[in-house]
Amino acid sequence: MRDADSELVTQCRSGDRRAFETLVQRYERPIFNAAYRMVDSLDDARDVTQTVFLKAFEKLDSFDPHYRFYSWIYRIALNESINLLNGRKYVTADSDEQASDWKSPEENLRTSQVCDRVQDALKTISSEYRSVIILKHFLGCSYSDISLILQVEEKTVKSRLFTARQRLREALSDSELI
Amino acid sequence: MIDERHLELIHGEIDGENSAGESRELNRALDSSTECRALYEDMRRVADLLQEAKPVEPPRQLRAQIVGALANTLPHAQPRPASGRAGLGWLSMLRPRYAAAFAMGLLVAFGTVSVQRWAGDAELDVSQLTGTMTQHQALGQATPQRLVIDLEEISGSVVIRDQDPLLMVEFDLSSAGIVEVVAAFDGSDARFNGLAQRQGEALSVTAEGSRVSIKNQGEQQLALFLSNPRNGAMNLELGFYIDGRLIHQADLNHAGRQ
Repeated sequence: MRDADSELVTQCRSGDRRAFETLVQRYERPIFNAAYRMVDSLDDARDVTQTVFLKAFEKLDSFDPHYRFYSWIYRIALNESINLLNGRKYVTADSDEQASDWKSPEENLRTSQVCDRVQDALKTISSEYRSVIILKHFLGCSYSDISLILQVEEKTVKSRLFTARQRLREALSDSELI
Repeated sequence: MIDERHLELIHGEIDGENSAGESRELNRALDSSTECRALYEDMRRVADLLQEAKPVEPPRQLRAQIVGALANTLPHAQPRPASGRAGLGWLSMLRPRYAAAFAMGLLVAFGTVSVQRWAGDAELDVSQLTGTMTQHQALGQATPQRLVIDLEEISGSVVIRDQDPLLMVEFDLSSAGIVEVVAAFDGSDARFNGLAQRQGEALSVTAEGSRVSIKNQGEQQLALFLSNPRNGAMNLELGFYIDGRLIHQADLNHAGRQ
């Protein structure tokens, strides 16, 4: 499927908006999930996802076709999530937002105990380590993919993954899941 | 103490990155070192728990919102406008659910809008009606509802598109002078959800309850997004005003999706 992305990008660059809609359909779910794992808010994940696709569409001309589309858009997604987290440092009403108008069926999917505890554990590690965990475990990226997305060497990817998992283990053992 | 090589093999195995030879090398280490085995089992458990965390489903209307916003973004086949005429494209830089509100707040701050108008003049003055152009045909929902306006003061079109669960009302208008377009929607649970602009610069936009007011001058293409959670029927009443005087009125009907 991912190999077909380049064809869709080409069609989109030729003015075929429907081609981009196909990319939205293909990547909406992974990007929303990655954003949710990063920012820990369904509302913010929705905003990030929408912004990611709008930015990707606007910047499609700058996309280098030698790279894979998913690595490019995942990078945008992580950057947008981190931008939001950085902005959130100056916002004090974050917990209020969590209890806002989201009482939808989507919210109910958070009820899983494991899901909640994993999410809580993810919150305890830095965004740098969270990024590699999300790319590896939620988006299924390889070391080389992650290296490309984060623009760091593979040995750095491995090192961050090792440390991230160690810290997650500590957090998960606190919640008695390990 | 686990050496670097075995540490790399343990994580490589969990990540599915080890070659067959590396997996065999790891198995030998696991057989001979309880410390290696304990770490491997811990890391495997962490990976399994991450795997168990089920994906969260995106909100049902998210894709429609994205596609709706894209519909009002410049196509790639066309050159981009100069920054001064880029419309409200920069709004996409804001958090989307705040963008419309931000735009409106900004416009209010510039003093180009009288929000008070809604409080003091909430009802349309039907005594000043000069004519009604209505499309009440029950067209299929796949067919956008289109209204063509061809007046001396303002011309163009207004189209309702069904982008389940959102409704998109596209305005493509041209007027030499300032014309205020008031869109009042009723008959359903529809609520104002957002605004996007492809061309032109709205002089002002206000939204309150089930009414949206746009002041237009020159060429303008913009879209209103209305949430329509029950896909119910909706009547859109459009009033065109110059200096507060109603010069034209028209209706567009959305038949809903039953």
